[in-house]
Amino acid sequence: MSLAAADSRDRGGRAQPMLIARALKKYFPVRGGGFLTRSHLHAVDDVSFSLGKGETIGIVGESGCGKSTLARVVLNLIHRDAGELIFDGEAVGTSDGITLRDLRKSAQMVFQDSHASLNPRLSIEDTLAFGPMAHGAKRREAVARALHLLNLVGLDPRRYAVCYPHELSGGQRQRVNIARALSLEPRLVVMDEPVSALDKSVEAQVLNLLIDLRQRLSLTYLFISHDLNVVRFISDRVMVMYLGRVVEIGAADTIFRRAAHPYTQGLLASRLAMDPDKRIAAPPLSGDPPSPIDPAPGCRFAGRCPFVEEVCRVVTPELVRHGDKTGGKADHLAHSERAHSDMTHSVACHMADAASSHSRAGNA
Amino acid sequence: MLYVLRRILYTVPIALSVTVICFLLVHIAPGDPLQMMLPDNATPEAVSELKAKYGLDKPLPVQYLVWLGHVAHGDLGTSISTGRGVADELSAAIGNTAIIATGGAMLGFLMGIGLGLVSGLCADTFVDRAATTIAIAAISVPHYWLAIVMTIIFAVELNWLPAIGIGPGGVSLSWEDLSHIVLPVLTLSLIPMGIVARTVRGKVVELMAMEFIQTLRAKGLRSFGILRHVVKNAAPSVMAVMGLQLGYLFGGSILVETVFNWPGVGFLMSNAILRRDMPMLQGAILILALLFVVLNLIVDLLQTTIDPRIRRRG
Amino acid sequence: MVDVSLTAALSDIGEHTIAPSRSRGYWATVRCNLRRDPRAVGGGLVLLLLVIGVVGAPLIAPADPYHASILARLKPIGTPGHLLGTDELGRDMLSRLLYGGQSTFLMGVAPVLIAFLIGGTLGLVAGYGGGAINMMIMRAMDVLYAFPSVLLAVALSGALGSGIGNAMLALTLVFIAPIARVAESAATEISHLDFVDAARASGASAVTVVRVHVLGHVLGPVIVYASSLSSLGIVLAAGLSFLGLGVIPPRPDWGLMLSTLRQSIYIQPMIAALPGVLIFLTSISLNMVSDALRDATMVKK
Repeated sequence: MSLAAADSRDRGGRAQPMLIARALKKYFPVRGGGFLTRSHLHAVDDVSFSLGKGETIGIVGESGCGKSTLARVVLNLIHRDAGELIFDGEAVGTSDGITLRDLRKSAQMVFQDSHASLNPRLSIEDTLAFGPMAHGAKRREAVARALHLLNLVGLDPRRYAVCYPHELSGGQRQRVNIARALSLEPRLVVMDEPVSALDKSVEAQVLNLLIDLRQRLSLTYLFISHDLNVVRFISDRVMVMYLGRVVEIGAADTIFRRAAHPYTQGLLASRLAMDPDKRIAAPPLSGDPPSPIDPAPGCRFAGRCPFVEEVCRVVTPELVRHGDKTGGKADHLAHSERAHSDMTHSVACHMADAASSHSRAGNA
Repeated sequence: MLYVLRRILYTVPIALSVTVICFLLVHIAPGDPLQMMLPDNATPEAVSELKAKYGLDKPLPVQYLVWLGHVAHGDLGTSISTGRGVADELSAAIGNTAIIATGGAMLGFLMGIGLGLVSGLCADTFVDRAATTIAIAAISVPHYWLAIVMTIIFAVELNWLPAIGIGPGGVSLSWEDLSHIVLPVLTLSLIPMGIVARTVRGKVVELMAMEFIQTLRAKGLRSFGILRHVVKNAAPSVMAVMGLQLGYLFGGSILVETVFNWPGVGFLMSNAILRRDMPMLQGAILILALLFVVLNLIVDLLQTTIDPRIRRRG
Repeated sequence: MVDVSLTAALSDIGEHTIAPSRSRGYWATVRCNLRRDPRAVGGGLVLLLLVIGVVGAPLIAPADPYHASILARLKPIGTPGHLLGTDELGRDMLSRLLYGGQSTFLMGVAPVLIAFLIGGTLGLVAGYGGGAINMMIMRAMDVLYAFPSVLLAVALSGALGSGIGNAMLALTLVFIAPIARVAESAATEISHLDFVDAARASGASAVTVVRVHVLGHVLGPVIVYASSLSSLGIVLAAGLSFLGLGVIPPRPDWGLMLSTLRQSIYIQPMIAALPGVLIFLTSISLNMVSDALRDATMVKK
């Protein structure tokens, strides 16, 4: 991946990562359990990564692993409990960092459920004009921009601008969702399962649209999905999440061909193959994930991991660089903050950490 | 279990707030309550003496606590008009209110369930439309007017039933006493009937359209069996409505009792209003409001035991 | 009485209020549905007649509602010159009924309108704001809600004393809590949907988001509920006057007339019942319109 083209809207330089997330935490208080004590659901637990300009990072995991919460935390739609967010060199959510208004203009989201993601009472053009008007554009200007956006996403504005959401098909609604995300001309687009609700053929069209737009508008994507094939298709790098924690991160090809974490391996093996000869007898991932409420210490995957050992249940594994024989926590963040795009393959598993007491340490 | 405790605990601040409001009611009333008790030419000393005697010279929160203390001991003050203890009057009256309220409620529920079932099971037919019209009429009727109309029909024109008052034996099964109860109960039953009928109809229609009923039908379950299923599923919401209606009948009995001169709590309230008898008014409102709160609590808990999915927030 | 329509209103909110296949915007569809519903048409017609009669009282009424005549006391219906008879003080019933509607309507409907504004705003703020704001507002509403409506109305009115203003104040307070509950429920439901998140994500101010996206969805259920409350308002308002807590004599008012004519039920029972007939008619037509409105705003998916 070469450096992204310089963009006049960027404050940081070309090499400045679009987004840096450090140790993000978001816990939700949960009712029930004890009478006086409060339980917490660990939706996002110590998540760190960086995203270079023009890059696409795919975030995968099962439902409930915290992907959607992470998306909202990154955009500051939900306030994080701990950790830092740096957008294009400026801190998010602090008094001296980027203003909320500017952040909103630079980072937008494409939502998951295309049915409730559009206000059924507003026409398409009203929905698309809302963002620009909220930032001071006059209605005529905003509507003109809306029509232009419809063209951009492949919908005929003459037909669709005055329609209501229920008159559109799922694929068309998602195109409108994408158009809405683009209406403020953002640099970063976070997409939360944008194609999950669509038929396969429509999914392909929308994915191609996204790739086309990325190139045309020099966008940076954060793409969340549970569908591994889709993620592989569109991402440069992939981050695998499990119960709120990052378990593996690296270049897309590396993850898909040489996954190191047992969970990732299980996910990959669970994909249904088209070839009947490749049938598998036992499911690769067995058991149920533990509850994300007040999780026990140690590796979250311990209950389902085929390689689990004592150390796994006691010590929580940190992200370490894969293939690093010296072991110890990888300072991969510091590395990536120097380079704009870090393809280091890191794994949060004791087997990859040469310094851990796991029997297979350093050999994975 | 925990939920039950939490729910009960939550009722406490509500009940306390109710007492605060009842306490404040007297104080938002224009006019000095003392004026009523003193002759016009009372000296300032006499006024301040009376004030001190009733503790009216202390700050409001203190007065509230003192009053609350009395209430907790069952002392609701003395009625200005009758001179007797408010609590005594009320305890005699509440039984009478209870008779017509529960009677009206039960009659209303029975008729309402019947009407609602018929209406719901024959949805969108002429029978249904007739029944829903009856139900709408029932909930729209001003019950004090209905009381008058009933009196006109049964007492004035037909002379079958007495127009006002309670029977000499109070409540017994003698015709003399029962004849006094009939009209109030009939009048009070109408609105609950209408509301229960509408609720039942709504639930029945909703349930009949649901898939599991189709499944039961396909399995060959006969109509009666299906009916049982419908009843079981509709029961929690209908019961909740019934509980609330009972509460409304208690709390809203004043108008009907006034028409029939039925010596219940409402009648006492109505007289207290006319005579500006604040202690009596206050006591009556407090008792009825607290009764309503407790009733709500019971309904909530009953509903939750039957259907654990229903949990009110808080 | 208040509660069932509240329960119904609360459960209705869960349905997506989406217009049918014609791309005609939501409110246009509601109007169309109403026109086809016999309840709306019938109820609306009756209401219209009543309103015309009441508002046009100065033009229609044959006599002065205050003009008393001892000789003409309790004349039956159909007496020449007094189409509906006279009351216990010899005043013309028709005129008193027409003028009486003015205070009943005022005392019954104005509180609903004011409560709609106040309660609706409170509920909207509580629903969209969530968290602490929600708790504070809704707990306050819970306290008011702990009283049955009739009792609270009588209590407040009884404490404040008689008079139209006091009665209207009492009724307004009674209605604020249930309306706020309906508004809050709708607002909370909507505020969690993705398109509201998207609107917030575009950087618009909370007021703008609420105005454009949330308000429309909340107005529907609240208006429907308020319309069902208006029938209760009329009945309660007349009821307060009946108890001596509303209108002060000799001003005509349906509830007050019911009360003063009570003594005459043995002599002229029909006349004694007349004012109540009008209250009943108003109440039932309001309920019918409200039911129709509820069905019109609720379209099956």
